[in-house]
Amino acid sequence: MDNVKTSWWQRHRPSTRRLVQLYSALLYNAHLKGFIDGEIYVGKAKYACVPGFNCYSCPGAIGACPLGSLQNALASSGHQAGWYVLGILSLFGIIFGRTICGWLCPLGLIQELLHKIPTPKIKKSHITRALSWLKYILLAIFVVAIPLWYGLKHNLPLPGFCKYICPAGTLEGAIGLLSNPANTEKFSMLGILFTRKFIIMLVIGLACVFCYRTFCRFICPLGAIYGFFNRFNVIGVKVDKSRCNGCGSCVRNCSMDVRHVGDHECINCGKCMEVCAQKAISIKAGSYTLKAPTAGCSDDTGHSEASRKRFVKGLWSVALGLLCVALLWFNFLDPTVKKRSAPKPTPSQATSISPASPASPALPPEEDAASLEDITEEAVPAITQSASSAAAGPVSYDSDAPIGYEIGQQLADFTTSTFDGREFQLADTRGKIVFINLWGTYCTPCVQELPEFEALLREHPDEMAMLAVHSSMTGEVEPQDFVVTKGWEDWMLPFALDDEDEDTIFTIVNGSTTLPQTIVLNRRGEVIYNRVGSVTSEMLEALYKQADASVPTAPADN
Amino acid sequence: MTEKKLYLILQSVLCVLLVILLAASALSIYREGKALKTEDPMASIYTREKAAERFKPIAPLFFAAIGLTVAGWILAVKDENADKPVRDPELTRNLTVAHVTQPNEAMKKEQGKQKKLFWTGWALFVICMMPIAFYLSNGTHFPDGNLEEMIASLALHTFPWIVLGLACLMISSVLQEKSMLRETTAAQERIKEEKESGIKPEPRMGAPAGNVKAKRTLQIIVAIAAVVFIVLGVCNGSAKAVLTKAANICTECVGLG
Repeated sequence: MDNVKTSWWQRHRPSTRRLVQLYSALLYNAHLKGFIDGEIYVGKAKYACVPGFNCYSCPGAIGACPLGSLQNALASSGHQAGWYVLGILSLFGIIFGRTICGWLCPLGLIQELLHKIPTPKIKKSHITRALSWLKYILLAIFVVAIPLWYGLKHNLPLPGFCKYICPAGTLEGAIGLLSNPANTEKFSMLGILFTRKFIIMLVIGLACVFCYRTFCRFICPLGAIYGFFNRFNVIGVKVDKSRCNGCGSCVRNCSMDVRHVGDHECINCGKCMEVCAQKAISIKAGSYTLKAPTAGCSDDTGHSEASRKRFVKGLWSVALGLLCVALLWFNFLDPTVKKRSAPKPTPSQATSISPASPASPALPPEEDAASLEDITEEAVPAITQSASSAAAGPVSYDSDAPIGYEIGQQLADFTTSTFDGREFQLADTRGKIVFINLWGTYCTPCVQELPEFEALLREHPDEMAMLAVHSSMTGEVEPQDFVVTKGWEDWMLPFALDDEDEDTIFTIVNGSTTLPQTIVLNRRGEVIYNRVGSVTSEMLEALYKQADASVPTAPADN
Repeated sequence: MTEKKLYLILQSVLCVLLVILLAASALSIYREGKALKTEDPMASIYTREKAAERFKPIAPLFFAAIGLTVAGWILAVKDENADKPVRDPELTRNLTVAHVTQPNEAMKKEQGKQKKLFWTGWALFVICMMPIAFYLSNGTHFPDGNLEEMIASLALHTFPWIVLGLACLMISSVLQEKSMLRETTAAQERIKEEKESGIKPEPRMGAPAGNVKAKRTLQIIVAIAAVVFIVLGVCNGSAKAVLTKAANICTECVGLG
């Protein structure tokens, strides 16, 4: 019985490569708390790109996706050279090449696990080799052309591959976020894009069941990029030409579409090492052999198997230590994680934000927010003087709703400076229907929908007030410069930048890292809509009518 | 049909069926939601309840597929052919031709054919890529506004050429393969002739070692350049751009939008 158990274990125990794949998948997604909270990690570690394919919108991701970063860098190439991403990709490429694909890519791991499902398998052939050129075409169209053109011509950040094809975004990002009940509201954002990407993800997954690493071989642009470096990478599979007799066993047993070991299709998995009768293949880091084909076989530098094993053990110890530190840091110790875990002040407790004035005392308890006069005079004494605090006159639009950001609650007052140098104070907009839009220059749907807001405001200039608030986290272009570049500085829609350090507009309206977000207030300042997701012109019109109907324009008799 | 084959086919059918049902469910939710949204712009196409309702009936199939997979792993059922080395006519040809001292006319003819097929295949592929290159190089094909129209137009103008180009490569590969088989046969006959006439094959030289020094130099140059680029990127703000994008949920990347 023991012999049977041992042989089953011998057959099924994970290889070193599998352990490294699992390790890297866990390290890239060390922010496990994100899966529990349903929020992504927003800390400084995301300056760094991970080597493999891992969507940065995955709740667990601690680093940026190199391919997504490349597309964004190309989209910004009109005003900023993407040296950073170019440097990162070059460094990963020259050190690892496509060893990343074989050892350090979570998506590669998922494909290999899917391929383990017992079905008839499609083997490689000259046809699959021809098909492997498809990934270079996809690289040219979706990774280079689309982001470049939209960035240069329209100042629109459009990551073509991420948006239209990438299954990692759908699997890790969408399903990772939506499976958490805290993100139920995000279902309202799903549409044709998700449907299409979901089907693409399913088809690629199914193909991986029958055909080894379908995504890697035929679609992955990142593999295509790393493939350029594969002949010159430091760490990877190397052939000892003096031992090789050209029998071709390595190529015939390889599951990838290689013509010879180490070419642009080779993922350096080391499978060829096991089948080489001449023991000519090993995995090397420079001249140092990491994995030799036979026990007791020394490399060119004379290192013994024992010293090699010691070195590898040392590497594993360091790696496991790093993983433990990462798990601790990204789940408990990171300041951004701690800040998120701290209880959020409710808007009724928030100080009023007024960048030009000192912090004000807290607003009164919700039950006492009876009239606008009370709020204006007692609750928010630091409100900037403005022409419309000749709202000293009779006010018709009273509300006794509690202060908050939920539907039916009254949004807390705030004051902010707009890009054109004026002041926007929420209290001054009583009697008008208010639309607040949270946006970012790096958010394509945000940029695309803002003209719809401007069009609505132009239709109802006397009945409405609007404010477009940019996140305090700015991209490579300053929002003020972006507005000028787009020709929006003459718009009626005022733009503002959220404050970084104080309690902010984003806090008041319960904004987050998911953009765009739209908040609609009726004439009494009560929230009738507060949701993340793009809005169409039809939706805006419907919301306007809804706000109009909820509070009539005729002043109520006091 | 053996039990193993039956298992493999059953598993394949389950997987394909599962994907079809999941895709159909997503499509039907979208279609119904879209129709609802036409009447009420504020309606959501997808809701958690709709998704649960549609995917619940598929759950038994999903668990059946998982159960079958686990059973297959335990019983070590797999496609026996999957681990066997592939037949590679090119390799077989190379190994056979290595024993020929002087190629005969048939071999030379096939070698000539293979070269022509190789270059023709690639020439046709490049020709098919030209319309794509022209399309991509024209900025008017990437207008602002409705991105769905842009992507539909892109698909219409590029995908047929991609399919045609890859088909040319595939056909060229298949024809080369056939020629290689004929060359191998001719080589085997030639080997017999040479043996009979007492001609000994020349000893094969080992493959020349690559230029290690040049490779090392290139690695060092690229590594240094990469570090310089990273430092430049930190200075010019492109590193910050990476953080900004990564720290905000890319709604398009995950299909939320």
